[in-house]
Amino acid sequence: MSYEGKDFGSIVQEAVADALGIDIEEVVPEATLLGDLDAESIDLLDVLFRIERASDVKIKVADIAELLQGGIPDEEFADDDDIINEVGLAQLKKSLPQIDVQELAGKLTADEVLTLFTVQNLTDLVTERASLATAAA
Amino acid sequence: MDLAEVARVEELMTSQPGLQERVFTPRELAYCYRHKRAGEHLAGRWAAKEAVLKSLGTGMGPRMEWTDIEVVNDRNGRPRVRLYGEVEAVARSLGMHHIEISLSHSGGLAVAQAVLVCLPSPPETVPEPEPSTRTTPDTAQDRTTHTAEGDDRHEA
Repeated sequence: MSYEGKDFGSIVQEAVADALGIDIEEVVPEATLLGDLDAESIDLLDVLFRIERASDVKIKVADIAELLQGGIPDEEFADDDDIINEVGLAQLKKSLPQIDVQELAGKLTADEVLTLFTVQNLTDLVTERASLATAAA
Repeated sequence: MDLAEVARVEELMTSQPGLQERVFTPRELAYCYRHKRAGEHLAGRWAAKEAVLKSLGTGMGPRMEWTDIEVVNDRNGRPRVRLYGEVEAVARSLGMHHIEISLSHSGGLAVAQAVLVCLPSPPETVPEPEPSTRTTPDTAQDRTTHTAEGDDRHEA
């Protein structure tokens, strides 16, 4: 499968707008899916499936979790109160370059992590997956 | 606990060919489509899967699949949860014995509640102190710590 010429930014933007039933102008790169755009988990499922149909890039919700945690075990990623620790924040910064680690230190809980995920983060993930698939072919 | 809009779930599953097979097992789909209001049952099972993930405290974690959580009905029609794959592994690591669920529908919403039931931890015993060499009577009492009776429950 060739991904050449595919505009993943537009594909993601359209998928998000169609799944959430919102104007495409609202789907800006820095908008967080679960926060700013008020998506729920079922909406995320819809978005990812639309992206797959439009681009042949398959991404599951679990893939996003894996990206964010980077293989770091739960007990090393957050403390006993589920507050993301220094190791966890450093990992998150790799895949969510927009976050302010100092601002989030000592405050970000495990169940809030996914709320940081933006339209741009999703576009980057889709683009990366397509590149890996192309390289593997 | 989780709420799901029946119309939203029904619309999504019917408008996106192939999606429902990613989310529901063949047994779940067969059950739902045997009923007139299949959408209600699909939404109920979706809400149940979400509630189970919440009860584990993980949400949809790495290597998990929606089909790792299967809602089946026993002979009395009572819904039960079966776990597979990574979801089962995580649940076992939490000491899961089983998960109890309840489903309901009303006003276009499906609601599910899941309770992760774990076996109680064995009682811990504080080792007896070394015998005292004092000549005065030792008034310290032996203490044995018991965990609370009954199962440890994680509700969602």
